[in-house]
Amino acid sequence: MVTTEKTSAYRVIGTRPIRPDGMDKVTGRAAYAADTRMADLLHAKILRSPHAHARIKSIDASRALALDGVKAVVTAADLPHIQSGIMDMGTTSAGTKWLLDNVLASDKALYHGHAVAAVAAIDPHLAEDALELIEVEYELLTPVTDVREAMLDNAPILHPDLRTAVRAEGIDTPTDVATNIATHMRLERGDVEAAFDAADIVIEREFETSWFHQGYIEPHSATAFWSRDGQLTIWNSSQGPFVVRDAVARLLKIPVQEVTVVPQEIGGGFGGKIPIYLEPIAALLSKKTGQPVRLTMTREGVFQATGPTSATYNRIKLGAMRDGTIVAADAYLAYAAGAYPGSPVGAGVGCAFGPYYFENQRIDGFDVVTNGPKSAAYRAPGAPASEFAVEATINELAERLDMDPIDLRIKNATEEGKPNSAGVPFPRIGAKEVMDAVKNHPHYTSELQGEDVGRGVGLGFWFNAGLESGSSATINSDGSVSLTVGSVDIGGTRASLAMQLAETMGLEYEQIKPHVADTDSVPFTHVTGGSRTTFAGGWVAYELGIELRDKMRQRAADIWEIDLDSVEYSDTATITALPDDEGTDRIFTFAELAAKMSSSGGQISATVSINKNTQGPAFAGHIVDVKVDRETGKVTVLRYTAIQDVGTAIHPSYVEGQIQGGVAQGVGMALTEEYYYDNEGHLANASFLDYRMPTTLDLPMIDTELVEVPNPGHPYGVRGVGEVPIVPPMPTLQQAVADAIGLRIYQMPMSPRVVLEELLDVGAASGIGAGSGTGRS
Amino acid sequence: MAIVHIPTHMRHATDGAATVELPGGRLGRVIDALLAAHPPLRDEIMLEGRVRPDISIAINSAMTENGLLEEVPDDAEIHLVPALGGGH
Repeated sequence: MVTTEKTSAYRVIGTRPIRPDGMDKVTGRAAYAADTRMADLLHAKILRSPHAHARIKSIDASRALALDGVKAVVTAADLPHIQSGIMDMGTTSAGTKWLLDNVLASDKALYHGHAVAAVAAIDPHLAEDALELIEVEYELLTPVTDVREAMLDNAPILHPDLRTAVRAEGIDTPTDVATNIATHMRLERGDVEAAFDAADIVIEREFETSWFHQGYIEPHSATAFWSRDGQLTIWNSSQGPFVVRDAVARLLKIPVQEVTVVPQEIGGGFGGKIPIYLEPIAALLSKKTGQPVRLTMTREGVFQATGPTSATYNRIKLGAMRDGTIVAADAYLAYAAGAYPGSPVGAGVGCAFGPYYFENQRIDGFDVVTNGPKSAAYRAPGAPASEFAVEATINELAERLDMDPIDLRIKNATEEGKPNSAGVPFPRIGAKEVMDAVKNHPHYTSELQGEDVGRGVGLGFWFNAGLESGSSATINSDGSVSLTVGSVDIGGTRASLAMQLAETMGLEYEQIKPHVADTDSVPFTHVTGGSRTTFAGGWVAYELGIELRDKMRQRAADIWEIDLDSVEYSDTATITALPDDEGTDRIFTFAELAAKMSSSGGQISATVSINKNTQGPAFAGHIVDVKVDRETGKVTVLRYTAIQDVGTAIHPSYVEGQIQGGVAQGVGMALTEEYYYDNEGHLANASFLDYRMPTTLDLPMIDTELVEVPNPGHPYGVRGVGEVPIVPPMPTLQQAVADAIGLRIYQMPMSPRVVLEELLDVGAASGIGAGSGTGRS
Repeated sequence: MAIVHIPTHMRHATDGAATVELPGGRLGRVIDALLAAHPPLRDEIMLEGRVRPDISIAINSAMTENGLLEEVPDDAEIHLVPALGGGH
């Protein structure tokens, strides 16, 4: 692994300590949601729709309820009636009515696997048996799973009341007819048409991407206990316990203070554990039975009914001058939202041209409902698909211009002060630094050898979120510090937050004991997502550290009977003042003063909440070498290098891990992962056996290079790092395959079947290794 | 005067105006003045008495952190930014 090490001015930041939760996780001792045990626990199972689109005419659960050991059944009829409202889900928002209908289908089942009813019984097998006794009468309707087909005038309509919300000017999308197009949005600047007319070269391409699931190892699980005094407690696997608390309270129409969410360790989320699915069902079953109820999804249920990210159809048009200046850019982005409105097309629109500044550009985005699971956030939600289309077109443009693809990018790179696509000027960013690092990387300058091998490059951009975080910290009498956070730890944030507190307080990392608390025990904290936790939680840790330092100085001043201003707190946590009148030194080590707390006024603690809506955007550049097997169509990744502006790497190993994880998931999108729907809208590959994610056997060691352009909006220069690395793999691999076999493939994934079909098509027509794909100039 | 940049999709509510000039001050008052000048914008920006969760507001290059309590300098440029999510 190649890592650029900087000469750090920090003591703790930039080191690689062991994460405090590591031992429990690798030895199996860590407690996950499905491990929740308690007396009288009931086990619940969900009945899912076997149809992709059907009206629910009736549900009869009487035979299930008559089964000995079955305690309760819930359907949508047990849920409150909600018609409007939008819920803030952290990095996304969601319509309340849609959220409720997705939990349990009311009038219609809108996708294969849509939850229709749930049973609680004394054991899980009995609950499964009871599901078979629930009689649901369906009226079958025609499904539509493809985003372009769903946009047609004669498409089957999922929601008769849905009308297009137009967030665009000067377009003819009708707003008064039943439709599957929930939103049409547009961002535009300059005179796009005139700029295309003036361009020397115009290139236009079409792209498709499949549904991709987040593929977390741990299925969703929630245990609920609604006590007789009205307090609802939920133990679950979620990226945002406060979001779950607020969503459950709103969906069940109960006060927020009557809901407590206790986050358990989480076995991956990648955005897919921000929505809620199980918690209201488990809660209602507990309310009906007076007993705790645990509900854990099957893997099949996870694939059928949670996540994934949107399948998309995208069309990109670029106009350039012969010197490489891109003078006009037009993007048409259609994202399948699944059963309910709310695809990440907005982020796709915002990110499409992210690494570049084009004077004349237009981006149209369409949020389209289809008969599939409601799409959920997935690592840089919306960005991989739109940026794949743009980056691939730029690679092809470079070829047409006979320019180095990185030189073309550098020529059009955005920079501080240039407006992003929404018009907001960028702060200090590292876009050009990343591009320069790619161009100068030994991988990029190395010679590629072998038959049917190819190299590709691609860029990526992601906004990064800030949002609200809160924590408290308490100094213990032995000089250690307990840090209580509200962020679920997915990628090592206990460590990264403790490191920032240790840095601020001049303590050793090992002196900080981080702890993830429930929603009653720590201030409001938004989701662990949006690459925000080390950024926003780090801000909190910094402010906690400053406050605790000041309080320790004040305590010393009280003991020494001098003014606060006379007391200093050193970078190694020594508290000093000038000697007293008798010449005696005034000095406390941190531990010495901590030991005196209880005899000098009591324990010292602090609580901080912040709301940081701005953080530093992230840019990434990837290089890949591949070999294509012409007999099977299999693409083998030979070498992969990921370069990224990470601001300041708090814990370089975890930063590298985030980058490698993002690349692995992006490689899956590019080469193997996809949802197979049959003509009736049934998901045919709802298992890890058939939904093929890359394993360690499929990937080489992913080299990383950390470019550090500190974020001026953070005390330690942190930028979020977890999301942008999933953006470049699709265009990077597409270019590498094109370089290897002379075929550009415009649909993702480039599975062996797709590659082989393209090879056979061209081989039959003009010989393998020549021709073009499905794009058009 | 502060300049509020109106996204293209909201310009139907401002008679096509791309920018609106308003005195600085607290962001809440700037928004009130904006809505008073262009009442149709209310449905685009507000929901249940607060700024819609799918709209972010940037003052110069920074997203607001104190919500409607944010101070807007007289020479500020304000952008209404569609949020990351899609439709609802």
